[in-house]
Amino acid sequence: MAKGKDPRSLLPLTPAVFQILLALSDRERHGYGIMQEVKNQTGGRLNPGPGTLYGCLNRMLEAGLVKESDERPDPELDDERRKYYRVTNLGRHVSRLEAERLEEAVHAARLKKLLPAVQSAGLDWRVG
Amino acid sequence: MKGRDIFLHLGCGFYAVLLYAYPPEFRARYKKEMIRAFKDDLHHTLRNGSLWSQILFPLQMANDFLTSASRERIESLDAMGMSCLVAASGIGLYASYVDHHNATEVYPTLSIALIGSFLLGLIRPTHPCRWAFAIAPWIPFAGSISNMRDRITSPGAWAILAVVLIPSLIGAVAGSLIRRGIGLRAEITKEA
Repeated sequence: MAKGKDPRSLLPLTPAVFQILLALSDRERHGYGIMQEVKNQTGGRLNPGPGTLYGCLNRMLEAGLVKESDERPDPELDDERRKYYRVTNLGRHVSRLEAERLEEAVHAARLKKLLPAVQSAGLDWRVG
Repeated sequence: MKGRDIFLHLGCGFYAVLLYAYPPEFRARYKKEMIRAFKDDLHHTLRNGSLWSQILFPLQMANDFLTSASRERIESLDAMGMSCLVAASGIGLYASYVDHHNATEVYPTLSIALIGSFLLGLIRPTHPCRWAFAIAPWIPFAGSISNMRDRITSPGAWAILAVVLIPSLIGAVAGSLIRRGIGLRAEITKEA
């Protein structure tokens, strides 16, 4: 299903799916690990329970955004009943496109002065 | 065994039962992982969480359960299943309307719930109880949004729901059994 699919057709992502992709972008994680990471990276604003998490993972597996990992990070320290998930190349591409889409939205909000202007390395979004 | 461990075991057992609300395929694939994640979360909350987070935990889990189970159920339905769900909602709304206009008589409402769920069980015999659960809640809770909060907190409304569920379940299961019986008979005749 994932092969040959236009990544842009999967946009926009829901906040939960985007946060799960971000949580998996640096390393493989199991279900509870993803829940904790999503909670941490959103400052507790998004706190997915097992139902929401596995519902999203089910759709993401079908879309080819993530896959179950064959390797275990540290088998001796870990419960072997846990399944680990990792992001696929398509998932990484889609999350980058979603991040760009959100960046464009923030840029538009700055142009409309809904957000304060920011000057950072190489980027100047000041208006007026 | 500490009180916390007992609470952990009871919580996981209760959550395992709740997972029957999810579609069978989804449950078969993720049940173990979901219980594992729930157990880790509950363990972490009981061990490290504040009193406030321990109070909030069941509410968050209830919210997660209700939203995700209903979503997975709806997504698992095909066109016929979705049509039956819409029909069940229509029957429930009609029964609610009849109930509202016959305050002294309960039999018309119960009859509609019984016949409606029977027909749906006949049309779609797999998991017939879902039709009863799709019809019954409309009867005590449908109406204007303004007094919805009063009705949800009213014990009387929940008592009506319990009463209406009985004929709805009987009707749906009876319809399903008859349909399965007809199917079985047709197969036997075909083989003969």
